Amino acid sequence: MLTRRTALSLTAAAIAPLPSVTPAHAQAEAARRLRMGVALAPNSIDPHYHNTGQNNSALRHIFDTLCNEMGLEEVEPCLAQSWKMLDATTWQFNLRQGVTFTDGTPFTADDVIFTFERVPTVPNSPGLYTPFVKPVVKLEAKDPHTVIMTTSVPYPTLPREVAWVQILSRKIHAGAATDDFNSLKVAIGTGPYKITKYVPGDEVQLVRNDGYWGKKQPWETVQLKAVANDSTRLGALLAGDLDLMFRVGTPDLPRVQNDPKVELTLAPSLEIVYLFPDSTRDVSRNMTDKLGKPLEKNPLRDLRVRRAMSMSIDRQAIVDRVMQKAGATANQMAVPTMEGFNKAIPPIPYDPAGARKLLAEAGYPDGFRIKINGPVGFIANDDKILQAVGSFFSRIGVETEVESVSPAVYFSKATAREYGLFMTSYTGPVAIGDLKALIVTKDPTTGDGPFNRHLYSNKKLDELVYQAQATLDPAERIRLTGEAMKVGMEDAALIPLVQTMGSVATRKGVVKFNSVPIGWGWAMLAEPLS
Amino acid sequence: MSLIVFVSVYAIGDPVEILVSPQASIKEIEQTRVALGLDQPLWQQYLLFLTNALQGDLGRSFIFRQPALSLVFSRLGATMELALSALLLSTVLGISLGLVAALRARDWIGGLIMAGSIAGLSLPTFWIGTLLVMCFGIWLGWLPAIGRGQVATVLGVTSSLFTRDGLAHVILPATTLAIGNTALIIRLTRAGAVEALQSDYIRFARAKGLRPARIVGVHVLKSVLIPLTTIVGLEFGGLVAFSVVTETIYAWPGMGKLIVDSIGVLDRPVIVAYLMTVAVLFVLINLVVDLLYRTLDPRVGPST
Repeated sequence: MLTRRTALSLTAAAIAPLPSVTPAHAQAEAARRLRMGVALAPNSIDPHYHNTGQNNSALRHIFDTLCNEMGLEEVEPCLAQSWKMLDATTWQFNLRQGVTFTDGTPFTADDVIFTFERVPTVPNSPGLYTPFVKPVVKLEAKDPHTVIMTTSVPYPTLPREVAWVQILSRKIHAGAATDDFNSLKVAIGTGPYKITKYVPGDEVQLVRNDGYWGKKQPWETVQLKAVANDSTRLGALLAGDLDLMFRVGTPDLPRVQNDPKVELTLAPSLEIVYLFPDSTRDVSRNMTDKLGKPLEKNPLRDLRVRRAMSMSIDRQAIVDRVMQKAGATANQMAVPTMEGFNKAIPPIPYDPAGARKLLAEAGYPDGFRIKINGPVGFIANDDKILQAVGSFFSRIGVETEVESVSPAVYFSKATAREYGLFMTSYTGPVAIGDLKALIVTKDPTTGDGPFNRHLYSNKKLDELVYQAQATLDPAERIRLTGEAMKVGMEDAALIPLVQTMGSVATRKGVVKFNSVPIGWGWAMLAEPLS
Repeated sequence: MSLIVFVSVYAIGDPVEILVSPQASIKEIEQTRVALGLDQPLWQQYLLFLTNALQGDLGRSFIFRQPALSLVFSRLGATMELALSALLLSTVLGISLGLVAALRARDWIGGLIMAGSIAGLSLPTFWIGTLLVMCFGIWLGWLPAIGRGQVATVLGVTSSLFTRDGLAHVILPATTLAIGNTALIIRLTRAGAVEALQSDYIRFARAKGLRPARIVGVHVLKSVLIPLTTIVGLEFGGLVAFSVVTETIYAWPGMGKLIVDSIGVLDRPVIVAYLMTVAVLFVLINLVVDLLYRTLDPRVGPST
């Protein structure tokens, strides 16, 4: 598999500098038709069936939400023109007037209520949108264009949550099953496009909704074509079978940058790649002394060891060489554009000598042996990043063996705590979300800490996070979140490595793509140039 | 076989870990597990599967929520048209080139064909595929590099072979898939034909003054076709079942692409349905091959 992919990218790369001829079949109607190559196609047309990036990207052409989450500090209005907090637990959303679904049904406040009722009830879902509607305990239609939402506790980030919920109509969608959406019978929304064809796992075809309430879309038809292999996708763009493609394979980046026919857009994403050291068990996995005897004491419990390992990594080198500059170094579990990013946290220094000293202080002057684990094909170039980390560890005397496996195997094992130190990534729009998912104490009663796989627990951090969550004043909330982040990072609960960048390649002079940090693959962000 | 799939998928990992969204809380993760029936012990899941399977229901895909069997069947058409085109291409090319190689065994044409067949056998599909995309898709721009193209329905069969656009799309992947088989058929045909050309009945036919075209086209070909049928039959099964690489390179929406994606996310119902479909297909192909034998060689048949 690996050799195949390498060979593919090598050959695809070899052709890039040569002048390419655009075939006639690709030039016809290029201005009105947009063909986008994606790595994954949506797995359903029911907008409440499965919460995944590819579904949210694809289905938002058809359906609208109350607000738009772009991964910036503020959310943007969409079906809700404005919103305000009436008191600590009550919100008023003022809906846009004159909006209709594509079958002519008018959009009203009752449709919002219906949508929120439907979300938790979609059967057999692999991942519901319930987390986004759960904070709301009561919904009322004050008038046909005003919705009042009541939350059980003060919930200052409510607009960010409802931004993920795509709005359906009670009249059209009452009793509609996921199958009815997939057969396109009730695939009717208020969005800028209408769906005309859906082949599961392969493609989606859209036509412009001429009755759309918002800005008129430049594209008459849009095709979303799933091409899983990065090099094939690039090949299709170079051959003129696609106008735009998302996610350029890392080995192809330098060539694409130099290709006169292709425009490459790199944009910082919300994804942070991090290492999760097991700092909680007395005896962990995959660690031995230099002779291969399992360690009786888990070295990662010692903060000095975790810090030493973090300091041993030259993050800039990983960004420059392994990621071909399609990334940035990270010093916390948030990106700089995010609400809750703590600017006061200093960059993590690259200091192998200091790291050695810390190791010696912790009682490991000769280091130890460790096997670190990571996925293959989950994050761009993940196996190479892990290899680089492994070699940095080895340089300070921590002899490292690297094991990368398919995500299908990897995540089950990581959750089963079969690893001592593993690498993965997290993508979320606000810093507090990262904290709540990854390092807040895992608690089945509240449902928090779902990906806190090594069961890290820090009372001070928990308190700060929950205090921040209930704070209405934005500035104070951001301060508390940043404070919690600092506590977690100083304890090296997680070791942040790098922030990834989303890459979009378009046909130069034909299409321009305006990336947003959250990485939406929307035709609405693509502009025709000719 | 379904038991093997069940146990191995269980051993690989937990699909819920891959499916669940980053915003989900612990409760929602548990809820997903219940919704997919993965909270039950494995033997119970298997028992439920068997009960349903006996009623013709192989379960629903974890990912697409559609019946697994109909999902596989919806992709069968695309794979079959690719496999059939490749089969046709490799048989026609393989037999004719093989015969030429046998007749001109001693001069450079025969040598060239045989050398080419060695290359065809040893070059990996992904390399040939990428090379073809580079040449015809990118440099020359003659043919589309990915996808299936337009489809049309003729006599109840929906296929891209009935439209110009569809045919243009099928050429590259079919050629890629056909090259290995063509090489194999060339070698078999040549070996069979060389042997036949030296046999007594051919010499007799020559002595009788039959036209060379008739000797080769009827008498030699007939004896060559018998072993060839077995191989072509088996290879067809292979083309259908293992078109995975070609389908990946050309983003061809066939079964191979579906199975790769499904294994990647541990979509067990689809994996089971796919393997069972392929097993049935192999049985059917072998049946057809056996029946063809009887037509080609009257000596094969129920012993009297």
